This record gives sequence, C-alpha cells and structure tokens, in this order.
Amino acid sequence: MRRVNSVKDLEKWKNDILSKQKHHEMIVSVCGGTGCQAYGCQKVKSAFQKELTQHAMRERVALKVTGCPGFCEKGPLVTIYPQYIFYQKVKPEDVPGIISETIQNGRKVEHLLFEDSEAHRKITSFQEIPFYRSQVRLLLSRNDLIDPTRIEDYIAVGGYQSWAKALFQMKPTEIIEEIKASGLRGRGGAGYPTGKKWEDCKNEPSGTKYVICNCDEGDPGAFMDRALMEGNPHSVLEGMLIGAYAIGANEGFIYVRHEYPLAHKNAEIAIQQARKAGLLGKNILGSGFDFDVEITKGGGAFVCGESTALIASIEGRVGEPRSKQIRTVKQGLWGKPTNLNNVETWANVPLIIEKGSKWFSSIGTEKSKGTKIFSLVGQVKNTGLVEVPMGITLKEIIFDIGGGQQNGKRIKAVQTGGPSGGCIPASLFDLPVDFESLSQVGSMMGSGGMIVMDEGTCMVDVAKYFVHFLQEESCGKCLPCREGLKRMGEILDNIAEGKGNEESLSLLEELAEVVADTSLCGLGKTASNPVLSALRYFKPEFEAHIHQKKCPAGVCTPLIKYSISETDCTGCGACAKICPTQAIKGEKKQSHLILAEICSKCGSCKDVCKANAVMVQ
Amino acid sequence: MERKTVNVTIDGRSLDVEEGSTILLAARQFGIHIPTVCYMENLTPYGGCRICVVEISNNGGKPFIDTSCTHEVREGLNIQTQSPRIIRARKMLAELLVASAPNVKMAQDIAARMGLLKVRFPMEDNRCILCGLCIRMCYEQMDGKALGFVGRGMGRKISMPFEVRPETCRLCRGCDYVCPGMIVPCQGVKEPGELCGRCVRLEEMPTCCPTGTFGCFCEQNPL
Repeated sequence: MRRVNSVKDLEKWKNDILSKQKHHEMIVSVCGGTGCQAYGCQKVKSAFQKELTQHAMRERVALKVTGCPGFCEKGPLVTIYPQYIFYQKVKPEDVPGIISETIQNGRKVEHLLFEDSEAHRKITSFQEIPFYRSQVRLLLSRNDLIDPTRIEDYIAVGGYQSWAKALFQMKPTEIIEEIKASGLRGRGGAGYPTGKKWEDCKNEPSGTKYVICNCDEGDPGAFMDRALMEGNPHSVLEGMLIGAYAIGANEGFIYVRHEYPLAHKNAEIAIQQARKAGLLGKNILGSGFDFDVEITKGGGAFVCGESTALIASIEGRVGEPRSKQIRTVKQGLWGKPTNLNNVETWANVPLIIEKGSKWFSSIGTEKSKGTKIFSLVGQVKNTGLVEVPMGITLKEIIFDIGGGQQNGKRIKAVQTGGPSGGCIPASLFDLPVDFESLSQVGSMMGSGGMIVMDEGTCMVDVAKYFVHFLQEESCGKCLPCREGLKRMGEILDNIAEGKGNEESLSLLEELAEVVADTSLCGLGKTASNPVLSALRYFKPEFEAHIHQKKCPAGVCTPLIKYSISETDCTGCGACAKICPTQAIKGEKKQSHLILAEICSKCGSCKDVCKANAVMVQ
Repeated sequence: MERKTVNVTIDGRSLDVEEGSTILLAARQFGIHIPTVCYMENLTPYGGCRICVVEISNNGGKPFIDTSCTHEVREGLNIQTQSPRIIRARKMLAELLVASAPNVKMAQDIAARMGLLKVRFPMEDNRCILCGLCIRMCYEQMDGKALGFVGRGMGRKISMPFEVRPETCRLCRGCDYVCPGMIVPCQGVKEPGELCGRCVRLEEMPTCCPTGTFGCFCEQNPL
C-alpha cells in the first residue's frame, strides 16, 4: 500500500485508483453484510469467483463484496454496475445464468429481479423499488459501492477528502462552527447537539483529550451502527479524525460490542490500512497533527452503551454508570475530557464538511436536521435498514417503504427507540419523525430501532418482553432499576397469566413513574417507556387480561384456548401429525378435536391447518 | 483561608453553603433532614439507593430529580427535599427496599419513617441490600480491596475475588461494622411481610426492646 504524505499524494492516489478501475467494464457487487451472510452470500461470491475465472473475465469484470445496502429481507443481494441491475435472493445456482445472460449478453435474468407485488411488474434498478424510492441515502449509499476491507475503494469515492479539507483549509473553531450550523444532533438517542458537545470538550483546559466512537448497539432488532461499521468503517474513522482535530484529541477509541465480530474485524482492517497509508498515526499528511485509534471490545452488556458505563468498561472497570452531574466532556476517560459520539454521528461529519452545513441543514425539520437510519423490522413486508430524512411520517416509513402489513393482519402499533422507547399506536402514524415529536408521544428516537406490530401482537406481552430484557440487562447498581424492574416484571407476568387485579395497573403505573424519575442512568430512566406508553394507548388490552381474563391478540398462553371448528375441519390429519403432545384426536376425514388438558398451546396446529379450522379463544 | 460559598435555596430557604459540598451535606449542615441508606460520612458517595433524591431546578429551569449525596451545590440551585414528587418516589423506594429485605433493620426503619403501612409486593428475605458500604469501607478506609460486586442486575452480589478470602483481608471486620444487614430489627419480623417500625411510630412500647427505652438503633443513627 502506498503512503500518502500530503494532500497532493492523496489526490494522486485517488486518480491512480480511478484510472485503474477504468479497465473494468462491469462490477459485480455482492452484499457481504451480516444479513446476507446468513443467507449464504459467501457461496454466491465463491460461485462468481469460479465462474469468472473459468470464463477468463477477471480482468474485465470486478467482483466486490460490499457492505449492507439495507434490503436484508431479500438477501443475498447482487448488483451489476454500471447498468445498476439489482438481483435479489441470488443462489449459487443462479450465478452461471447471470454470467451468461447479463454479463456476456447484457440481458436481464427475469426471475431474480424484484417484483412489485402491487403493480405486478419487475423492477430492474433498485432506485425504483418502493423500498428505496422514498429513502434519502446519504450515509448508506456508499455501502453498496465499496468493499469495506479495501481503503482504495473508499478513496475512489472521495474518501478522506473531507479530512484533508478540514485539516488544511479550516481552523478547529471553524469546523466546530460548521458542525454547529449544520444542526447535527447525537444519533445515539438523546439528540444532544454535536457541535455544542465538541465545543464544550474543546474549551476544557486539559492537555490530553480523547474521542470515543460508541458502537455498542444492543437494542433488540436494531442494526444500523453495525451496518455502518461493517460496511463503511473508513467514514467513521474520517469523522473521528475531523472531530479529534477540532477538539484537540490525539487518541481515539472505538468501542465495538463482542457480538459484532464482522464490525470488529472490518474496523480493525480499516485502522491498519489507514495507518499504513499515513492517514492515522504521527504527522498525518504532513500537517504535524497526530492521531491514532484503538478498538476496545465490549463484553456485550447492554448498559455499556451508556456513556459513563462505556468509559468505565474501556478503563477496565465493571461497566457501571456513574452520576452524570459532571459531564464526560469535562471528566471522561481516565478523568480527561472525552467526546463520545455514536457511529452514525461520526459518519455524518465527513458529509457535512464536504457538502457544507447549509446543504445538511436543508434536510430535515426545524430542530432535527439530516437523515436518520432506522432498522425497520417486525410485521411489515420489507424489512431492513432505511435511511430517511427527519420529519418523514411514520406512515411513509411503514407503508411506503415497509410495504405495509405482512400477513393480512392490520398494523396496530410501532415500537421506536428499542427497549427504552415506547409503542406508538396506528392513530398517530401521521406523526413526523424527529427527536421532539417522538418524545412528546411517550416514545423516543433512540438509536433507531423500529419494530412494527400487527393485531397478532399482545401489548401486555410486548411490555413484558421489554421489561424482562431490561431487567436482565440492568447493572443492578441502583435500587429503582434493579428492584423496580423486577417488580414490574412480576406484575406484568401476573397480568399475562390472568392473575392481575384492580390494583395491578395503578401500582404498575406508579412504579413505572418512580423508576423513570429516580434511576441513575438512561437505562433506568427510560425503562418505563414501553410500559407507560402501552398503558397510555392500549389500556383496554390490559383491562381485558385483568377483568375478562382474555388475551385479545391470542398470545398470552395461560389465557387462550385452542379448538377446532367442526364445520371447517376437513379431517386431513396434518394437525394431529405435528402436535408435539399428541393432544389432537380424530379419525381421518372426520372432524378433529383438541384435548385441552394435554394441549401445550404451541400453535403448531394453527400454522399447518390449510382449512383455517384451528381457532384461538 | 477564606472559604468560597455559593447561594442555594433549599425548601424555600436561601442558604450560603460552602462551594464543592454536596446538597446532602449542605442540607444536613442547616438541619434539613434527608434520609439515606447507602451514604456514610467519609466514604465516597455511591448514589445507589436513591433514597436521598431531591428535586433540583437550575436557575428556573425544568426541575429534575437527582441524588443529593452525589450532586454538588452550584450558585442559584433551587432544591426541594419534600415535594410531593419526592415523597412519592421515596415511599416507593422504601417499599421496594423493605420488600426485598424485611429483616434488615435499616430497611424497616426507612419504611417506618416514610409512613409505609403496607407493602404491595411479595416479600423476599434478602439479607444484603447491595448498598456497597462494606466495599467502600474495605477499599477506602481499610485499604483492604478484598470486596467487590459480582454479577449484574438480579444476579448482583457482594463477594471476594473468586470467592476466596484474599491476603489483603486482615479480618478487621470493618465490613461488618458498616453493614446495615448485620443489625437485625428488634427481634426480627415474626410474620412474613410484617412491617416493624414500632419504635418510630411510638404508639406502643415495643415488647421486643431489651432495654425498654426504645433505644434501638434509631437514636444513635438518625436516618
């Protein structure tokens, strides 16, 4: 790898890479994100490798394993450039077809194209797919173009140019002013103005300062930071470089959780390459500025996403939060001023420096600027990562991008902000998504998880799930979080089992409010959100569990009963075959019967019944 | 040496207190009572029990709740130690505490002081309330470094490294001395779930009191 010692070198390197890339007539890019890896994209990649070598096309056609383009539902994804042909659900067997049809003859392979189920037509280019149409992909768009393990790819798309611009054309104060003017707010959840945080940290008199990138994303169903760190680690590094220069820090840390091995690997490779290229280390680009980054692997505790707990974890202590009266920008890592930002926040920085604060602040709402990546999961047709401008309505995200309901059940709520967020009912789907509006309705932006729930979801069960999750993840330092969440879990268990009484709801509400009021850190302070918002918007469901001893959604097993409709049952026997407890009796071609005493209420019979004769009460 | 002071308002009273002191210390200096569990003089404030919460508003800003043992005074703070929001929070915390450790005297005392008559949660019988006093005593005062927290959340407990007494432990029993769990309430709770606290309510002479002077621990240790 070449070493760049000045801006000229960087420019020359970029031009060299671009002229080299001109030899390639086509680029086959295979998504190598975690979702597609689970679908087996490695086999697809090997198949391409083999076929291309066989046809002696390695010279003309470049093969790339890129980061996650977001449409994880349809993986493994393959895109052919420069025609922008988007193939989904590609299997290794499809590869020879793609080579002979698309690459050699320029024809499309019809059965691999995305089909718009409403318009009944095949779509070639991914920009036309409804899932992508309403998105504004500022951060994620580069994911599909670059191989995260090759710094050359990032340089070729204009990488590290913002860093050079910040280093040689801007003073630290100018950078901070630019970030402040852009209106960028922390993407980790709290939405603290990034520029102000940097300024506070810069103004601290200490000589040693640190910057930290928080990649300890632990929300169930959220993988935005993961996709960025896996797919484009250099953009995060570039953001950290600019931030460190503005603040005056010479050392940085990336805190990656243990459960993200690929993110850890790609970040490590990126750091090594940047170091070799002279973009990290001593005297960067001949400017005299030193900066280096180290990766710290977290043990996977959810609470370590909290800034003070994260810092404790880096220092080698137990990951427990401390009182935050003295902020981390004053006393953070090893007592030194520390600026901690989320992965997505850091990744936004190079864009702002490159295109200017005016451009950035033109996107979004009055108080929330730019775009936000959400991981859209749950009961919608199209799940995956979506990047949308702030201020878009929930309806647009769920119905236009997400494609609406999945199995014919009406969507009733969306849970935003992970376990600390709240459930927003369908009646509020016109709500524009930004920091303020979400917290107004009792939820929060959080790091950007978005779980869509339909009528088959029981809100008591949802509240129970999140409370138990947080109870497991609470560090146990403070009484309200440790004991309070445990008691909340007990009350919710009782309600779900039909043992709740009149007092349960008022006690639950009071307890939830006190836990939110008195807990030490953000985990406890927001832990009540799922419970309080569920109580606020879905109280009738709780009351049905308590008074009628019924679960309207048919989820809470102690309150439901499976039976077979005599008129609908065709007597095929499929249910009896699958029943794990042999609770279904009946002669062939005769109506079947479920023995309630033996039934374990697993629901397998309902899933296999073609006649829809299994009923839940 | 001249000491710098800052002006704060505690429960409507304007007070000049020493800079750098915590709200708890400032309040106690002026005779304003704030109950505590995990706080002890000369040990680092821990902020774990949250019983000492107060409502703070910074120069007319939106009031927020924080522990008085860890929050330092600043010019212009307006502090409420007895607002309805605080009372409600403390009562609930006391209820959680006494439900988890009814046989710890301090938990019973706090519950009694908060006027708690009924506990709405199923009672457990923990002897350790995880206040961490022993750890801080050992580490900060005895230079023992023999104790620490193990586990997370509900699995949290106090233990020695690898559950073996390290050489640094000199059996000074400083940990015993500060442990609220070592003081059994009177003669202990007879019925499961029964709240003690008679020595505080003073409606009747507690028959369990050995000296007959309701001496208990309350008077030596004002909460």
